[in-house]
Amino acid sequence: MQHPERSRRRRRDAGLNQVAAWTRRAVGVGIVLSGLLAAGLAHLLPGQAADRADGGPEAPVSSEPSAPPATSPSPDGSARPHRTHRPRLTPPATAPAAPPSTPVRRPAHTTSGGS
Amino acid sequence: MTGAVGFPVWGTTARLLVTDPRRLDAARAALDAELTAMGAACDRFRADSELSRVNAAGGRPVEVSALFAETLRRALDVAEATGGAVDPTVGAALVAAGYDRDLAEVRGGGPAPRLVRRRVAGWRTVHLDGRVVRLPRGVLLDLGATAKALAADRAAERALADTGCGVLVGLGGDIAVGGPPPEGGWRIRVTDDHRDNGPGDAPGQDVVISAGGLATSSVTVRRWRRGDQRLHHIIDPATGIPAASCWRTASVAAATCVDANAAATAALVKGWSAGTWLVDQRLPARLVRLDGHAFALAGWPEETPVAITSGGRAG
Repeated sequence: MQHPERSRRRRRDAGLNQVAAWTRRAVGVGIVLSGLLAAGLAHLLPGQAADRADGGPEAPVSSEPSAPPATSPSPDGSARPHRTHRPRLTPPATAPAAPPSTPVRRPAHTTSGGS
Repeated sequence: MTGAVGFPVWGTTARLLVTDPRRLDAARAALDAELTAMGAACDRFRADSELSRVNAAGGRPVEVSALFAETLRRALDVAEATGGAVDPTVGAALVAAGYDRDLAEVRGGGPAPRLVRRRVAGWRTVHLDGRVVRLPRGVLLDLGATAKALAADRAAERALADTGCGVLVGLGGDIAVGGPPPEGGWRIRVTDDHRDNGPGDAPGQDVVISAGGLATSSVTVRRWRRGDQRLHHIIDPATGIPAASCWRTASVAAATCVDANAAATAALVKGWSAGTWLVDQRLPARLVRLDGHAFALAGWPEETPVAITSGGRAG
């Protein structure tokens, strides 16, 4: 007949082993799921999904008959995901002014929203 | 005294003014060269344009000219600077709204479009690497606004270099000036009355500029009717349909015509928040509400009643 204390300890050890196994399995599943989630998010990021979807090794089709070959990436890094500066619209050196009230001249030009 | 010439181009009117009338022909040659080059690169309605080839590439990379690459780069910069309010990937949305031909033909009529509210693909999906462009399959670019404004900037710069005198280039609502202005500056009528695109008597406000760009965008100019729908060409990238703006016209001054055009168009798309945005950007602007009330922002001069004498000389 087994000692009750030893038997209790064996049951406790078995339980702990089972918990450790579950934990390892859960961590493993978590790592796999995190990887899948990260891959999914990366695919959804603007500017990247399209790059990957169509990023085959095709040679560029020229849109101008005698264009020279493509050179290195543009100086400003215009491939969007790699930009380092944020473009801004630049204010004028001087704001438009009200014309002198007299003498009244005809305007030189009209801007009326053709754009 | 200035020399001036006007002629139709791209469904609108080009106007060229120079402070030395003897240099008008040279300036006109510079303008024509820029218009020809930009048309070959970015005209959406020309089957042989680079833009048409890029749009038809079906997701393949396309090598483009330096001018096309510059225009697209500027359009992408504009998109980023406006927080996506002005986006070059609205081409398909414009086609869906019926703007798939020259405006004169579009106004000729056609079936009512079934407009679907859906965000456009977005400028971040456009890949520009040096002179190689790649669009996702199904995405269509429209570079219209940026191309026209950039053509004005480039033409003014080129005409100044070729003539050495003061130059004003106006393409529709987009104005770029360069060189020494006439005495008192270039006097511009800012209006949303489009019956007159010359130095006429349209109601509005006169302002004076001496450098940079001034642009006006409006939902009342390039518009057409399909069935019971009234449509216009300013697409809200967030919805993919013509913007339901609280402004009918926005005029903005900036260091370049491209920036002025971008800000004016963005103002229409942004609606009520445009005022704060323009002030934050320090871009002088005049916004006209749908009911015709005008607001002067960020240093734009307050409106004063103007009486125009007849028979005055331009400039």
